[in-house]
Order: sequence, then structure tokens, then C-alpha cells
Amino acid sequence: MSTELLTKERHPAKKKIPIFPVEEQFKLMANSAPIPLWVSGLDNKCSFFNKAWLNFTGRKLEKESGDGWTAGVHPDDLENCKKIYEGAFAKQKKFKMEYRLRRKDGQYRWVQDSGIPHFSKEKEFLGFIGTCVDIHELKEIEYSKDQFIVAASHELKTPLTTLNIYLQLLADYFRNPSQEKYHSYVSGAMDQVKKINDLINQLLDLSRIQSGYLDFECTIFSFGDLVLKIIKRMQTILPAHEIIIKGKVNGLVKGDTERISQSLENLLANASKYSKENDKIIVELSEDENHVKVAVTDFGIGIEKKHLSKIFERFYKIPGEKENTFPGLGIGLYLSQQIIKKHHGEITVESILNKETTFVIQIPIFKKTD
Amino acid sequence: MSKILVVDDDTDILSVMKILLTMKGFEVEVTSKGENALPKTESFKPDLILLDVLISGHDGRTICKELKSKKETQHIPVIMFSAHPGAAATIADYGADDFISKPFDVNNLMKKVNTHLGISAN
Repeated sequence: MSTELLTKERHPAKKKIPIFPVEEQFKLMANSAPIPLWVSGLDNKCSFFNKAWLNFTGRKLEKESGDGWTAGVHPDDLENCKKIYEGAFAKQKKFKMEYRLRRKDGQYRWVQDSGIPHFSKEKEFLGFIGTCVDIHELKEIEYSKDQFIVAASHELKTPLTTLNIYLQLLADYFRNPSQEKYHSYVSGAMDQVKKINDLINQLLDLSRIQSGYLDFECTIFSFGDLVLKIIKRMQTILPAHEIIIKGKVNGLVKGDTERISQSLENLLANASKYSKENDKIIVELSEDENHVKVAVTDFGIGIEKKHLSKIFERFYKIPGEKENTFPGLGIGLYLSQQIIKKHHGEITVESILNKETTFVIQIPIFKKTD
Repeated sequence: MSKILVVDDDTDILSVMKILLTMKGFEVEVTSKGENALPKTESFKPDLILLDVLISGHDGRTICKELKSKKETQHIPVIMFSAHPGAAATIADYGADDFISKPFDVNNLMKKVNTHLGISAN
């Protein structure tokens, strides 16, 4: 058998495959994708929507193009939606947003829209490519869950209220110094009622923050005074640790004192919880031109680097034999961070394993022009 | 002797509130039904009303608004309470005089009650 024949047999004449220009290839791919996709250009206007998008909204490409797509966004979500999109566009950074988009049958469906900036080979910014996922059912389940937590918390609090009053009546009854022993038993029971109540409040706050209904009553106050007041209160609750105060601040802050206290108290309670072997917690106050800061440092078990970015996630509890022995719902830091975020501030953390951990709350200083 | 009316759909809390407030020297009437709040107020003529925010089938805030819109009852201080601490922000529009969140501290409650009745402590 000749070489020529061999080659022919092994490689029969190839079928001619049509070659599409890159843009055509992209469209073909995008239109075959089962989820809605969009593309925006340098002018931040949308220039392309795939078939899945158009099938979802039931509108033509010409209608959706430019800013046309915003007509399908629920009016209550539009402002926030534009803010996120335009903000991400200016920074050329990826974003994720949730909003209600009108389906062709008229029903508004919750979708999660993720946009990623795309760049040329020369790293020149070209616009965004986005994908949309229908998360309506998920949102509904989440809503039912939140409603359930609110209802359950309310139901749990009702008998707790009654129990608490009976206990306070008993405490009154045993006020006589000769009955101090009984008084201390009742006080112990009351402390436990308070603990249950705090746990229920955490659950309530969690569901409220999820649904955007966490209430804030804002006043203008001295941040330094508030911190000192909190430390004084927490020192009695955490008698095993000496809370050492360093530095001072003069700045005023606009915010909800109860909520900010809740955040700082949580950091202090954590500092104590995770540093049983040491008896000092350092609270350092400082400020710069625009922010007041409070840093809480403990000298306890520390946090491994790989967990640092996750500890603010809700329900996150650091796994591990030693870590598993610490009580808690895993929502304290999440709540603290959400509260500080609502005040346009942030909480950061630094830690050295088995040595020390520092959490810093930073909040903008209130200025008369605000 | 000052008179206090307590309105709450939870009968357990009504029993203990009756014990507590009687012990503190008040004349107390209670009702677990929202629709009885107004007639009870008219017949008992309390000096102060403790009113739950959510009473089965009734919104305590609406009851408060009604009390505050009637000439005969509008002068009576109303302290509302709820297990939803957030409810505090919603009561001012209905004319309530004060709010206390459940579970409450007895001393705290008594302080509020005395303040609104114009009774000084001790």
C-alpha cells in the first residue's frame, strides 16, 4: 500500500466548516445560552441582549437596547439598580445586583444580575458583559423564612416576658439580706432569661437586615462618650477581663447609638470569649480628619489567615476542634458589620494565630455640612 | 389609688401584670380583647392604659388613635408595648405617649408608669 493511499484512507476529505467572524461566533454562542445575557459598551449603554433575555421580557432588541431595558425593572428597584450599575461602570469593577424584572406575562421576577468588565488585549476597557439568573423562588423561600423567624421570635418572647416579670417579683420578695441566697438564684435565672432574649433579638435582627427592615434611630452624639459608656457596662458583664482604654476621640457621629453599641458590645464579648487564657482586652480610640476609630484587641486564640475574609459572613463559624467548642449562632459579626456599613463605616480585622486579634470599627465623623 | 387598664391578647401576661400592678398599689383592670378596650376605658375610667401593639385581630395602634381622638379619653396616657422593638418607631403617629419593648424590666416599666401618672419615685 502506497503512502499516499494510507494518508487518504486515514484522513478522508474534510467537510468544509463555515468560518464565522468572531462577533457572529459570540452571538451564536450567546443566543444558544439558556440564561439571559447582555453586553454594554463604552458609553455604558446596552448594545446586545441574547435570545433568552428577549424571550424572558418578550421585547425586541431595539426596545431593550440603550437604556430601554430599564423600562422592565420594577420602579422600586430601579434607582438602586442604576446606582450599582453606574458605580461599577465608573470603577470598571464587577458587580452583582438583585432586582425585579418584568417577565413577558407581566409578572415581576426577582433576578440576580452579575456584570463583569471586559478589556481588550491592550487592557483597554470595553464595557460589561452580564448574566441574569431568575432567583424568584429562592427569594420567596427566603421571605417565608424571614416571616417565620419574625413570628417565631414574637411567640418565644411572649412567654419570656411573663416569665421575666414573675422572676422580678420573686427577686423583690427575696430582697431581704437574710434571703440573699434565694435572691442570687432568682438573679441567675433572670440572667438566663436575658441571654435567651438576646439570642432571639439576634435572630430578629438577622431577618430584619436581610429584608431591609432594620430600624435606625439616628442622633448626633460624641463617639468617645458612647464608647466609654459601653466599656463601663461591658466591664461588669465581662469580669474575667480587664478592659484597658487607650487614646481618645473628640469627633461627633450621626447614627443609632443602640445599634452602634450592639456592634461594639459584640466585638468586646467576642474578645473575651476567644481569649479565656488571657485577662486583658485593649480598646484603643483614635481619629483622623474624617473618621473616628475604635480598635478592640484580645490576646487569645487568634484567627487563621484563610478564615479572615469569611468571618463576617452570616452563619460562618470557624471550623476546627478547638473553635467548635465556642458557643454562638455565627451571626454576631455579620450583624455588627451590616450595622456599621449602614453608618457608612467599616469593620476590619487583623490577627496572628494563637497570639492576638484586633477588630477596628471606623465611622465617618459628622460634619455640620452633612 | 390610680387606676390602670392593661390590654393584651396574652392572658398569661395579663395575670402577671395584674399581680404586679396590684402589688405596686394600683387598681387594675385587664382585657384580652381589642374590641373591649374602648368600652372598658369608658366604664373603668383608668388614669393610664398599657396597650399591646398587636392584639389578635386588632392593631393596638388603631385603638390608641381612637382613644386619642375621643374627647372623653384623649387625656389618658397610653404606654404601648411590643415584642418587636422596631414597633417603637411606628407608634408616635397614633398618639401613644410612650413605648416599652417586651420583655421589659419591671423597674423600667414602673418608672414610665409613674412618670406618666405624675407620681414621683419613692
